[in-house]
Amino acid sequence: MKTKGFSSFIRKTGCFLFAFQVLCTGLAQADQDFPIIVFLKSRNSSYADKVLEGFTISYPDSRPVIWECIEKEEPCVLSGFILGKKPPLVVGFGKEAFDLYVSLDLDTPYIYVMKHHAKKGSYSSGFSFTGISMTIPPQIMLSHFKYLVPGIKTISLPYRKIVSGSYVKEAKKAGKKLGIDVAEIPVSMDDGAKDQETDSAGAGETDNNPPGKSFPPALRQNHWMKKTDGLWMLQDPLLYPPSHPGTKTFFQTMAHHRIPVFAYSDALVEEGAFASISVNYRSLGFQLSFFAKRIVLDDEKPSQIEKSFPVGTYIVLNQDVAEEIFGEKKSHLLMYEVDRIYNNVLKQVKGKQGGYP
Amino acid sequence: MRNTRIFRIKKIRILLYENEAFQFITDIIQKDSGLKRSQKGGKHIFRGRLPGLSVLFVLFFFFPVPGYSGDIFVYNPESPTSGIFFVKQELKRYLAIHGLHSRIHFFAHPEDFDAAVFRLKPDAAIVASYYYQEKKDEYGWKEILQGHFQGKRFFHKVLVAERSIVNMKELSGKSVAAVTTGNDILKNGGELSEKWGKPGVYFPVAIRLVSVSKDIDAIMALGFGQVDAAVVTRDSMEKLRKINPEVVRNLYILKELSPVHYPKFVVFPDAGWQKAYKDAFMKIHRVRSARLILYYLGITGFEEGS
Repeated sequence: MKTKGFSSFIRKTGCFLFAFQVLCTGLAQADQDFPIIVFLKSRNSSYADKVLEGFTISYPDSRPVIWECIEKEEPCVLSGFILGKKPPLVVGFGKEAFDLYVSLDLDTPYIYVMKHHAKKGSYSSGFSFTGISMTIPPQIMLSHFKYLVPGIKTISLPYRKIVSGSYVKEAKKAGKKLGIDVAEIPVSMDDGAKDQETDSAGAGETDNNPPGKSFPPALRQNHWMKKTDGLWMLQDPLLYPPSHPGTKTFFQTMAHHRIPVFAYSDALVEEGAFASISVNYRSLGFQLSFFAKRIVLDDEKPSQIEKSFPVGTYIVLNQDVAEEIFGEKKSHLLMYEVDRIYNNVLKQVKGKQGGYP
Repeated sequence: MRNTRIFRIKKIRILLYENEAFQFITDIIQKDSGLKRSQKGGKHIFRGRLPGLSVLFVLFFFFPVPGYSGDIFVYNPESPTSGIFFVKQELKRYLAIHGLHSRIHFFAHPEDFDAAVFRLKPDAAIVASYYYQEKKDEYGWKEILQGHFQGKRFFHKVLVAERSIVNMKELSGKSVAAVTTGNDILKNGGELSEKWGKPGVYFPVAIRLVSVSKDIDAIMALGFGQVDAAVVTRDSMEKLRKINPEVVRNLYILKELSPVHYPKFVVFPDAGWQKAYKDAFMKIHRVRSARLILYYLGITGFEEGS
């Protein structure tokens, strides 16, 4: 009896193990059928994880391989990996990733996600690419301003010519179509700072913030304040140095004068800007997956896909400032047009818990 | 001094639960230690205090908390995915003002909701209207309140496309922008139909979904040629028409989808505190800080259910 029970146990265990192995092999096989997509991450592309989140939700039947641009000897390793695994697509986040991939001289289709579109250059003939720039076009920004503040007629736009000259030109054109007068305010860095092209948020820091000047450089001329319906802040760390002590006071002054400030980052909304409009990275992931599917599943060439800009925006509203400018009733309805609300209650909770979830 | 502290604990235990209770006790100990530190130079801070506090600590967890009013589940796929923590805090705080001390649970997936129903036996739930229709018989739900947006009980979504697209079949393999939470709900065209219309009727073809967080993004994406169609409310299309008529000129409504009711407040059979819940949620729009909850649900208030 005992022997019979033991052999039955062995048989059952054997069957179970066999079934388990078959299942595992099947799953592994199924996984192997999914296309590998290589994601190159530049060192400053902290947004990439959120984009990837949207991408994997939208394109679950793919195997993302993430490659961070950190090691010096990586070009040949990466090149070997791509030549060995033959992924149907490489996606790169940031300029560093783009430059790295160009240097490899490979012909695997490439999609970039960068602040600005890649310039036309002398790339190798086999290099086929398309991409999404992370700059929201002025016509979309202005449409959002009008969406949040329908009565807006004039908006002031401080900028540095060398950094945002062409963008401001485009903004003026788009403003005309939308019935918004974009009042440009060219700012020269009078404290001896050199204008320089900045691609990363870290550049500039607070070096150009001489003591005694209470407002950030872009906001020191305030002659425009009386005849404007809003202020548009462009992302430029030299114009608006991060953590500038005068920023908060400036926002308070603007709210007092009932002038909404449209910032480029939600951190500034917490400081007291009316609202911020930035890229919605999760939506960008969906958009990227749409491009990827066209290349991987439909066999389209990247050159057949038009370069694009982000489809989704992430709008954060400061409810307290909105109430000060537009009154409680209007600001209550404004809440429904945005992605996130910031107000005093949240501030208290945030202070208690030490940060957003 | 000790009596005062016990009194404070008694008073506070009505308001705090779970981790908060633990945090509160820890705070008391820390406060106490701070007091001792200043008096005795930082050493032997708990001498003579710790046994008393330990007894309180044990009593606190073994005795049922007075005023506990059951569990509330929240499942609304249209809500934003960020900021749930604050909404939860605010809802707890608001209900506590009305003498209701409920545990609030948010769900992103229907499977998790279903599993938790059997585990936690909740009393009430705030759910998307289509989920209510699907599950009302299974759970024996009774609709107590209906959400509304400025008096409107439901919203209409429409499928908008460029004029060059003349029928649904042409959308095969094309991109459609819509407000969604994830692929489990809207993986392909068929599932999209289940949500906003009769299954398999409105989307007879597989579409490629581009998820956005707001209707205005969806319609703008279409207007600026980023996608081939968009599922939006009629209002948002009209808003864009007012802002930028040129962009909307080439767009038209390809299909009107079925109306969707705003979320409902429902109770499970034999749930207690029904009247208290009803009173609290009916008045929620009056409290400024509690509007965050309404914003999360995409409504401006609750009214009597049908």
